[in-house]
Amino acid sequence: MVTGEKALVHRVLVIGSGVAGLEVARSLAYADYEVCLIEKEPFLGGMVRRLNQLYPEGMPNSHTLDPLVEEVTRLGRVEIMTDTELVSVNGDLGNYQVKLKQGGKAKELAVGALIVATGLKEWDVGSITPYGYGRYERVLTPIEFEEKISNEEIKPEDLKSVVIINCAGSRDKNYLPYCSRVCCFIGLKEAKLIKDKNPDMEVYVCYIDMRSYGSLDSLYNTLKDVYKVNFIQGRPSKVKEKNGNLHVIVEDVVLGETLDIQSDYVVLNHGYVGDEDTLSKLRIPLDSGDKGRFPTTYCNAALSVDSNPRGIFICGCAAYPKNVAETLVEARSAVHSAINALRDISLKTAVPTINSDICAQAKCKLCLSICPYDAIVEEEDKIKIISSMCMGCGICTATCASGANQLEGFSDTELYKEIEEIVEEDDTVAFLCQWSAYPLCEERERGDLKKVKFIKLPCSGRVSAGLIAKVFSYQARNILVAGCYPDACHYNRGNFVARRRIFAMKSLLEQFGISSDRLRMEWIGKQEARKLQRVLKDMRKG
Amino acid sequence: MSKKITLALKRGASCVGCDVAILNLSDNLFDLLKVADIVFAPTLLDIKYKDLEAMPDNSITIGLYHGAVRNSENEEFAHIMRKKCQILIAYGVCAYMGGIPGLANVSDRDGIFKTVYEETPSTDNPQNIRPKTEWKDENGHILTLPRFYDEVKSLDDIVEVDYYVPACPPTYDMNMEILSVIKNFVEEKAPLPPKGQVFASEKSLCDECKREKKEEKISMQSIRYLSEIEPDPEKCFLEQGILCLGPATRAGCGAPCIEVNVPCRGCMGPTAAVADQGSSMLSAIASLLGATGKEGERVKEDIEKLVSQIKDPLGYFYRFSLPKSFLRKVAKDKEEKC
Repeated sequence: MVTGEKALVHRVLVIGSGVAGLEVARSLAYADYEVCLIEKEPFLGGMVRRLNQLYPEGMPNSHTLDPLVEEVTRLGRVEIMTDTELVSVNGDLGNYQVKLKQGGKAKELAVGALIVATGLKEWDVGSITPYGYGRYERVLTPIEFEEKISNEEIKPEDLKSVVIINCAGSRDKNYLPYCSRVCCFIGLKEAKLIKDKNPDMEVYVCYIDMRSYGSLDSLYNTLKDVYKVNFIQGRPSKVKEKNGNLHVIVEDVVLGETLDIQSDYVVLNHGYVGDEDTLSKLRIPLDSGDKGRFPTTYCNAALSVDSNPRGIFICGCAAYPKNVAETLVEARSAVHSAINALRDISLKTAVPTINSDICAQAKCKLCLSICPYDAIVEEEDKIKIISSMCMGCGICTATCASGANQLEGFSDTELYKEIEEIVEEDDTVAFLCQWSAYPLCEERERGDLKKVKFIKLPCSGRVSAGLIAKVFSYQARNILVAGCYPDACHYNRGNFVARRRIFAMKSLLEQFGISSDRLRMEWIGKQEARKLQRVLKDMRKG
Repeated sequence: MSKKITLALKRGASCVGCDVAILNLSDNLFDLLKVADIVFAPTLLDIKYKDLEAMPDNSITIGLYHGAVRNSENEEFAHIMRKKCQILIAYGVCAYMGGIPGLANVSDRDGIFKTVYEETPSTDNPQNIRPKTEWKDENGHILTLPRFYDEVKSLDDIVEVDYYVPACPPTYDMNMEILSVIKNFVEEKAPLPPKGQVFASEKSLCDECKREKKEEKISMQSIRYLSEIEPDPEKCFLEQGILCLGPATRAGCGAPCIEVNVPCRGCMGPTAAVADQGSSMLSAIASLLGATGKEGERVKEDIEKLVSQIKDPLGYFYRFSLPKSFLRKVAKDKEEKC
């Protein structure tokens, strides 16, 4: 862990020069930070550079991009490195050592924090064989379609019919199981783009659900009612070529009819994937399950931590797909978080220490297996906590069987001491998660509950069988462990780990002749002071 | 050479395996005898209890007490050994933590007598005779038996202990290590280690295990028992879903069980950082068992079914340390109140 004595590096590395990366670089430079902006392509601009027009108004990309590029270049405090890729990152918040490769040359750099703005990549829609991408020349991706229109390879004036297939591969467990959020708008934008140029042509949009959220839903209504775009609810089964024409076979689920639509061009409006390569170098986990391609879960958890302890911030489409407006907001938010984190590094979350006199040098790997953040690694036959990745949940401390892993502030020694000091015979002891139930036990909420002792834990996942046993050894009447509701755990899965420990502990208690009813686990939400009281009252009865 | 020291060996509730472990020093015993006279060892020498009692207090340099404290005789001799020996060592896991005899603490005196003298299929005891601590024959001779306690205790529950030697029984290498400590002390080459030390490694047993982790992370979706599968002799037991107490156990034995494809049962006791070996291992196993990260849909029954795969957690995880468990204290205090 970085201590206050260590000098902070007043420079931030920004990975990716799309709209997000540029906005981050710009804002950091204005805040007097040195910025190193790296881009693996030879030019700046990322995905937006490749887009012809942006939705919803069809504004040309240059309106957003050019002023940003101009400003970042002019500011001088931003070192721009194109053709540059991230190789590895070591160190901690305040002092990261970064290895880069520019062209063929290796470069090294020290930075205080990193902001990841690696954006998204198009998912390979060719893997849906029935749609014929790669086989039929006129089956295109949205970007190809837009590029061909912009260089006049395709002239909408000459077209009779175009089919846009939304959710091509998306929300489909065989391909991409998630929604990419932006594609519905891309479909609408392209329908409008060609209809504006040729109002007489037929445009079909095949969709599963129209997810044009927010105020942009009006675009959908305009296209439907004014532009007379044909919206067909149904996922096409096949695209085929007959006599030089493309045919899209789709069942319109509203009409209950199978349609065969002849079309000049078919646009496969596919989903997107994150930059897995860079994310894995930064040890940022993708969503669980083999089909997860974005670190959404990780980002949601990271966002809820006031000062992201990692010093590695993610913004824009690197986290999950979003539009330019959302991206800009998130870029500024990432800058804000990075500056805050660097400003007071001493506020960083406490992390566990590994006593290497006890730890079996990476041979048991229990802690490493349970960490929700991949913050524990094996390095040169030693277990190491990457403090910049650790969120301080203590799940690993309660998993470590050798006692080598102890979370500062919530170590076994400290918690046993607390139990010794406060627990008396016939007490009810409540282990409460600091994010949900613990704030509810303040004086005014306690009411007339006597003989109830509260013990704060960073997460219910810190509760170990040893803590439960220790409390009972002081003759407590019963024990409550309160965690966040399923899927609401601040640390992603601490409540589930706790629940398994509690159930295992119940069967052990029975063997000791202690009724398992004396140990109770409840989900208690942040607003549920009454539920906490009700549960505790119930436990004090009789 | 400096003056020889004296050694005494006394057993409590023990299987005598610890005596055999010492004899297993074989010709190294002569090395021991060069520096130490064994003045009391009923298993090895023809000597009586009264001989020990007759020795002056503090006259024996080192006393090794092995076995747990099960009855009044064990307790009485724990006190006598303490009085006669300058240094008292709890030798073997039974003296250290209660060991296998300590498992009897799931029951009490009456429960155990009921099982042994009444309930087992092979018991033939129509008159329902139970052992008595005192019996007078027709000639007025009074015969006595030690009193059987309600619970098994470790040696340091009874008297102050200077050093601990874990394991069931201590291995040849561990004994050689102790021998060298004793020799160095007698020959004034090195002082004795600080009081309270456990003669073993500080690390957890995984440190000495030669098996490999084949996966980057352990994923334990179900638990397997030796009766069900033939374990892969190269691969970490936990990776195979087999309960192995290695992570919760102190190293120092050289992991001989694991070498013959049997998972660690924890006879070395916990590391210095752990107070309650069984709950520590239970916590670890329950943390990993069936972890998917997506468990929101599981209901109570699913989790009960999941953890029910851990059969007999008390017996498995507290096999050698039940008298030292936090929870045993709860059950015990409850009984005392009744």
